[in-house]
Amino acid sequence: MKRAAALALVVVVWVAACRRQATAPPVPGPTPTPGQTTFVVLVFPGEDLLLHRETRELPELPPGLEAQARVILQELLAGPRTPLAPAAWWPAEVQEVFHDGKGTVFVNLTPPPPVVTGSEAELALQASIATTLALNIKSVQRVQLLFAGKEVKTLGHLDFSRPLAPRWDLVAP
Amino acid sequence: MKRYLSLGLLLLVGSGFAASAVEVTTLSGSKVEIFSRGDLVDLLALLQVAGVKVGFSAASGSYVASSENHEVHFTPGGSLAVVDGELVSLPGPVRQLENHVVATVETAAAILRPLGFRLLGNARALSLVAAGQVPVVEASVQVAGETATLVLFGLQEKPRVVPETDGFRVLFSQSVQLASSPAGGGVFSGVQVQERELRFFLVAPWQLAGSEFQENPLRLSLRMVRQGAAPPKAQARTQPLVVLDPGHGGEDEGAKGQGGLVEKNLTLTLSRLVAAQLQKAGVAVRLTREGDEGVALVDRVALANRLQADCFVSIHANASPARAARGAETYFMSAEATDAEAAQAAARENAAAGDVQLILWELAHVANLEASSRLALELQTRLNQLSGIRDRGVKQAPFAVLTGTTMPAVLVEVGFLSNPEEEVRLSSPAEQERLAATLAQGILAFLRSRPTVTPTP
Repeated sequence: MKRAAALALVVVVWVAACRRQATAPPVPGPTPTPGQTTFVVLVFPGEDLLLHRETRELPELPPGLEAQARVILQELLAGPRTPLAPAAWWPAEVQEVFHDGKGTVFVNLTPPPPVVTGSEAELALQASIATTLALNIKSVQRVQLLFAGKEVKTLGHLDFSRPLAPRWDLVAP
Repeated sequence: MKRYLSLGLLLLVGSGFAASAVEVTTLSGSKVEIFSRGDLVDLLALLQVAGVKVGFSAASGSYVASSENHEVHFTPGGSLAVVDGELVSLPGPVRQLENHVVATVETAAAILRPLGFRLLGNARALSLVAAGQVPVVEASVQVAGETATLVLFGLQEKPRVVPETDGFRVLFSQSVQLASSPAGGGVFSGVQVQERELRFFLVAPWQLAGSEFQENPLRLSLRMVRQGAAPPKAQARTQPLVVLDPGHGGEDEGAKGQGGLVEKNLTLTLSRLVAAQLQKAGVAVRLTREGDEGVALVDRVALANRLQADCFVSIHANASPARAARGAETYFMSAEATDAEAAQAAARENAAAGDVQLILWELAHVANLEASSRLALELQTRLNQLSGIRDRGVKQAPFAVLTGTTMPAVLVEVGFLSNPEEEVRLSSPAEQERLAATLAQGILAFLRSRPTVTPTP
């Protein structure tokens, strides 16, 4: 019980840290230098619905899977720099990221507006997030999207109530 | 535990919040008032009323609520909690409001549940009960013409509904009592209360059409329809039956084009046109909605399953952030949701719950994957032959409306309303006729390829 309580405390501290991070004003990152940068690969949907790669050079990622995933997703949700479509159809932000230690990552996003979009947009959202995380973090096998901290059955089309695998079949060659 | 500072919870119970207070019926039956604002209620006060110990860790900024055997950690501003060392997602965030730690009733209930308490009601009236206390379910029936609605109130959980040939069962995880049998217009011939289930027997012309679980307060609505005759059985039918699903409806408009074309209207128009074409060819057709009404996705699936349709085609129009995206595509269920391993796992879990029907649904769904892919190919191939339509192919994805179907099932996206050129094309009655004829041809080709049905050419 003590171990569980200790573990629980660590997680809660982490949650609190995430919260503080989420609400803190954006701070410009350090200027990348050759020794302090890393490359990440993001995938964005094209008009053909295939996921197209964009490589970004970022300041060295922080330690820890959740922190790394958060930075990568923030970069993804900031949008493409090439004429590709954004991963999300609304200005989505990452609120929390949690890894269950078994390959499943839970990504808590700010919710979309209450207007149904198309199945293509929903598939692009799920596929670009899950595939981007799996491309950059080997241990990520599945991703479940949460919206405003809630598990959502559907946004109108896809079933978001469970973790979904990356869509390697949709990645452009 | 040393880190936790003991809290002197100064709860203004019973006074002071006439304009923003909610009455809570305690375990002993007495009533107290606690702070509330809108749909938010004072979480710490509720825990106090329940007799739960609450501590605060200044280091982590989190609270810990503990009963004899369980602990729940939660943080204001966060929507995650740690229950006995396991991280769980709460229905919504815990918040700090003025000097109160507040949450929605749903979130408060999620925190109280592992501590052994049930929270019933809404932000205007709440009731705390011990988890072991047998809840009393109240039933009311409303009959309107050919439809009847049974609403079950006083629920503490989301029950499962299992259709039977002569009615349906409502399954709970714990014992329940029924306040009184529903009286209503000759819909029910009887009700049995069997510890964890309520068994409703329907009078012969009535059949269960669907169910919907709703919150605030928790309630289950079950919709019954009076059929003119018993539903056609596959083996007794002389003609194949297709269920067409016009996407969206009612308040859910679906995608909307810049020119004003609304997906729910387009899908209904197309579905009616496809239905007319199929009926001309001797195929029986049912639509999941006949007009502009909202129908839950699960009810659309339930209708097709109940009618034992030969196939299910959900008709949609697409939208994408990629403005130039265009073309038609056809989906069938994602393999990852229906692979053999998943089916076996589902079968094991369902067997543990004693739900044979769900096992059968899962297995039937897996068996229909191959047929679904053939149906998708028949539709997409024909759509590709139409001029002006870009082939976006046959794809797989975990669509909610395809989950649980026990027949070949596909979802076709006929074009993009987010693309102004496609919207103009899809607005044209001639194009709608052309699309409908093409979809009907694809469905007929699929039906003809099946050995057990003989649609008239």
